[in-house]
Amino acid sequence: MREVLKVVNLKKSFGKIKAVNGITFSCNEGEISVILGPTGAGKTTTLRLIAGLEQPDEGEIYLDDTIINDLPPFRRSCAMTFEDYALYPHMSVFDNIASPLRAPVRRKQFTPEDVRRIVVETAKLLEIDKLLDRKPSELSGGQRQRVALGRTLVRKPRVFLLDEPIAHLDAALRHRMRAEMKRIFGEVKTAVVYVTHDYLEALALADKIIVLRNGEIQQTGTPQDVYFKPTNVFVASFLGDPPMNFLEAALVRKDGHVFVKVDGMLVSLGEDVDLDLSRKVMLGIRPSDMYILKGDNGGGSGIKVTIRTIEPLGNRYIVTALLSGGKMIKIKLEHRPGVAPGDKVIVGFLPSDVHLFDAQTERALWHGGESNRG
Amino acid sequence: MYMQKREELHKVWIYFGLVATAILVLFPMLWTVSLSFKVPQDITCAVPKFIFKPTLDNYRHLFSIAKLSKSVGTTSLNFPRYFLNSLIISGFGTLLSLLVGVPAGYALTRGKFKKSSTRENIAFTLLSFWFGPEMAILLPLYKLYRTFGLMDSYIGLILLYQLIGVPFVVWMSRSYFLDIPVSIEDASLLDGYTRWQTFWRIDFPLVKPGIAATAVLTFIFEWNNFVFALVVGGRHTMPVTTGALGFISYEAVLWGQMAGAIVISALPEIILAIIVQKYMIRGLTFGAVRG
Repeated sequence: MREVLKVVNLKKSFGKIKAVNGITFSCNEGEISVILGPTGAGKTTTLRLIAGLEQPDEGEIYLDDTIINDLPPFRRSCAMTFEDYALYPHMSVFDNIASPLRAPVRRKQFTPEDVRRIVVETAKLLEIDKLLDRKPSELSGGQRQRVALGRTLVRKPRVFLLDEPIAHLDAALRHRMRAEMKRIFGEVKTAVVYVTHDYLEALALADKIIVLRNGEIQQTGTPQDVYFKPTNVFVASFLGDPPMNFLEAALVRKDGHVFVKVDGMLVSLGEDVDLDLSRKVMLGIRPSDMYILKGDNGGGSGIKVTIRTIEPLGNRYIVTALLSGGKMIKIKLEHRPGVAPGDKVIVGFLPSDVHLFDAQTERALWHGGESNRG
Repeated sequence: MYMQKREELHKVWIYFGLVATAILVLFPMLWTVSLSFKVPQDITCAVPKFIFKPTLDNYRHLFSIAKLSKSVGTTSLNFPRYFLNSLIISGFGTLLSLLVGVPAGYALTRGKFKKSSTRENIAFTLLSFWFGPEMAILLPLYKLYRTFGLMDSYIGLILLYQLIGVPFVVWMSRSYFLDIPVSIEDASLLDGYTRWQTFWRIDFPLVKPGIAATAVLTFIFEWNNFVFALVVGGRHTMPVTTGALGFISYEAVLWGQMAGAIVISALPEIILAIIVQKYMIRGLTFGAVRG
């Protein structure tokens, strides 16, 4: 796969705020790279830097091995959609989509017939071919989003930059568009940089996820990597809803095995574990990886908790429980919990679902699924 | 039942207030119009006459210079000339205000300054020219215009009227540009247009109605100015505002002709005001981006 876009040590500050603080990544042809992060992480700034709408303070942006730092936006082969769609309110849908084709830089390439043909083809692909005469104000949110997408698709850019393209759609439409985006961008063989704050969107779409926080990359990897082997506490808690539970824990060695001791429960990590036992650690366990053991079975192979609330979510249940020390944890169940608030129960989990983090640096030390999840 | 009565009573009060305001505002205008159709005897009689035999003499006199000058003795009044002067000064004045003010308004909206507060400060400083009393600058202005030979010249007056026009155009056009989301300009830049092309393709069509309304208002403000024209205007450049003073002469006050002059002077403003009313209803172009 060819590398299309490369960003090296990119930095950009606005006053005292370091929006983007030295990030490096690359995007290959035919791949969707998702930049994932919370509000204010520097995701949009990164896109704007690549598009040329902002000038970086430091660092280089390469497009097909050529530095494009000094090129104005209209000379870069980047097409971008904006979070607010940025449709031209005084132009029809047709004129909006045709806009890039009629631009002076490309005017000689396309005759008016070409423009019409390409716009209609693109509109058909996006199922908006019946709306071409309308004004943006006469469209629904989903239709506007498609027009915005159409406007980027008509030209054949080297890079698509998509800024939260479906964040403002309602849930049902968002799911549908997510699948369609995957189809559409699977067909065009270019690099796609997709910005979102929704981890499910990232997992569903990405070939590669770049997790951003405070302008710094936390982790770059496949959706599998980022979800199952988060590099730090932030990544672990950002991907998942409810977020991962973190419990104070200690490491002990017994009979050659390394155990992690949490709230009186011992979890074996196996024999050949290379961990510094003196380190203070945090045990991370996803709510969906926990289960409730009724009664006291098997003599202390679980954590004693008191059930606090149960939130039924249709086919799922979120159970909130309190540890003896007052710490709150969440458990996500796929079946009826069979317990009631106030019940004292034992919750358990499998060693293979455990993540260990350094309590000081918050870096990941060990992932339970490391051996079998490649 | 009771509520309904209360509501009706409420309505009566509102109508009463509106009618009272309308009479208060419109009566002087109507009276002026009626004066312009009266013969001098009807104007100066002790009991105001509401029913009279209308005459067009006053208007006839206004447009025939010879007769007019005879009737006022030494003063020579040239009303058509004043009207033309007003048109020239306010017309070109407005044009210049737009040429300077609209790009300035754009720059003060989108321009990058080292500190973002600088932009606000400049914009506000410009607006503050509007608050300042015109009287305060008259003396230095007079001296300045004398020195540079700008007295009684069209250029002098047009330049001076920029003090009225430019701050207003800058402030108004800035508010229109601020309503345009930056993202649609960015989208246009990425579509392959330069900033200049983007301005003409995206911003200008969107602010056009607003600018048209602003232009009309600027024209009206410049047309109505009295003090500047009084001080630096002269025989050749006298606009209708100061020209109307000429009807008050040593021997007599020509009430009827003055009223006629005022009516004609007000006509362009009234016509323009009716035209802009339509543009004043804003919000048609905006809000479509996110919706």
